[in-house]
Amino acid sequence: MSSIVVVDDDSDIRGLLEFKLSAAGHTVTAEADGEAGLAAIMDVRPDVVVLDWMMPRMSGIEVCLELRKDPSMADIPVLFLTAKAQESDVQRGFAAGGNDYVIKPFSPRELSSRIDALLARNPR
Amino acid sequence: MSTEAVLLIAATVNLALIIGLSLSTAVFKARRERRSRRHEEELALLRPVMMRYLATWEDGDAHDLADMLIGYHGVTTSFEELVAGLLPKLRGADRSVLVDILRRRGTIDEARQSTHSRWPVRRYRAVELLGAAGVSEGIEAAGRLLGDRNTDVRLAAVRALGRIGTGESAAALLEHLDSEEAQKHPIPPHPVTMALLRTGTDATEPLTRALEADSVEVRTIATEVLGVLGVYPAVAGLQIRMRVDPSASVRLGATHALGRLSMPGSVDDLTAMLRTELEVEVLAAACTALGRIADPASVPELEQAVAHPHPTVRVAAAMALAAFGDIGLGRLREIAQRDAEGGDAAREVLARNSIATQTTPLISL
Repeated sequence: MSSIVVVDDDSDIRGLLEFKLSAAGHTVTAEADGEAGLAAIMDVRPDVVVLDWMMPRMSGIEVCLELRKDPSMADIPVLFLTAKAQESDVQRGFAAGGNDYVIKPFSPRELSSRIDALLARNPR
Repeated sequence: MSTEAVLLIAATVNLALIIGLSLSTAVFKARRERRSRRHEEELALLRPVMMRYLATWEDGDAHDLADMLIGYHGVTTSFEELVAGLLPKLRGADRSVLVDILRRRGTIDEARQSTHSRWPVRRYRAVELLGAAGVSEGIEAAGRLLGDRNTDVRLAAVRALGRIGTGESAAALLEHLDSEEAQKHPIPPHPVTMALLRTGTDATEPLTRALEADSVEVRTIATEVLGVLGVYPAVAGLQIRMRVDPSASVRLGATHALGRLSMPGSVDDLTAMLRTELEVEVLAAACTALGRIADPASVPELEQAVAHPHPTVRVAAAMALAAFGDIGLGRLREIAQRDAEGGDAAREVLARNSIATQTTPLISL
């Protein structure tokens, strides 16, 4: 069983991922903004982080950059789940340290498979 | 009756009216609050059921959740609101199961009926839901509402057809815009363009047909969208529009599109246009298109265009030459020596080019 932190200001998406990933056997912590998300990540030290980009208080990119600065959390896989769909956005997401990038609207099934792949590639 | 008595009666009536109004306002507010509370309660009940269903439908043991959702009848519009909020965020099979629930509940049929409502807000909500669901059953209703007397409903119908996103929905949109009815209740071009772009290459066939439409607006939209979508089979139709269309906006759209498509087969038409076109914007677009294609055969024509009387064309032609690399830049250096005949445009573009490449200026100005 893996632990996942989901950070998204959209309550529908948070709710859906909590149910979906819990049903797949993961322990899920969900937060609604970047600051709370970063605090949760530092607290939980999850196996994977699902990050929205545009959020109040702190953007997903800023959260990811903070994670990469901290050697103890630098290797936590981050999957961006965002509506920012331009090629340059995707590049920026990976440049900030993202390990995967999913564009909204999204398929929860596909997201789940990507999370499984990240977990398989990064056993902790 | 004395004046005092009349005043007393008037004051009493006023007081009664004020009390009556206050009471009715209080009753209205209380009802609204009760309904809002009920709405929140319904959402709190529905949301976890919906989420659980979406999380578990694949396992095959979520039939009871599906039945619950299908049989749910709330007092408020909570179900429709929840689904309408979720649908635009999802794609793939999870979205399809949600639409299936809507269908089995009869929500899609109800929405189609509601598009006939006398209340604009109901027509609006209905067409929004049909669009969010992206169901082909919504095409007829959304197509009809393009001619609605209410602007918001018309725009919602355009969005809905874009979200449905099939060749049929694109055809309904373009055919309506080309009809006489569209003159009575106009629709701005931008949302139409966005809806067609959202439809993507599925709109290729109706868009190609629309190049021959009666309406200038429809022909213009078709040229622009075909270019952005990169529909190569439309090149021949776009070349015809660029050569013969009586409307400058259509010729401009076609020229932009041919530039985006950058097919060498368009060079002859584009260079011929530089000799015959009178509209400055179209001429500038033709130069830009030639720069994108970068066929050396067009260099002499672009050199002539650098000496055009209008500065917009001169600069566009000089920029196009710069896009050719060494060949074009060499020509520009020669032209830059002149006092007239495009020397100004050539010098401007060479200066921009040297800044862009951060090298020593190629010529001394």
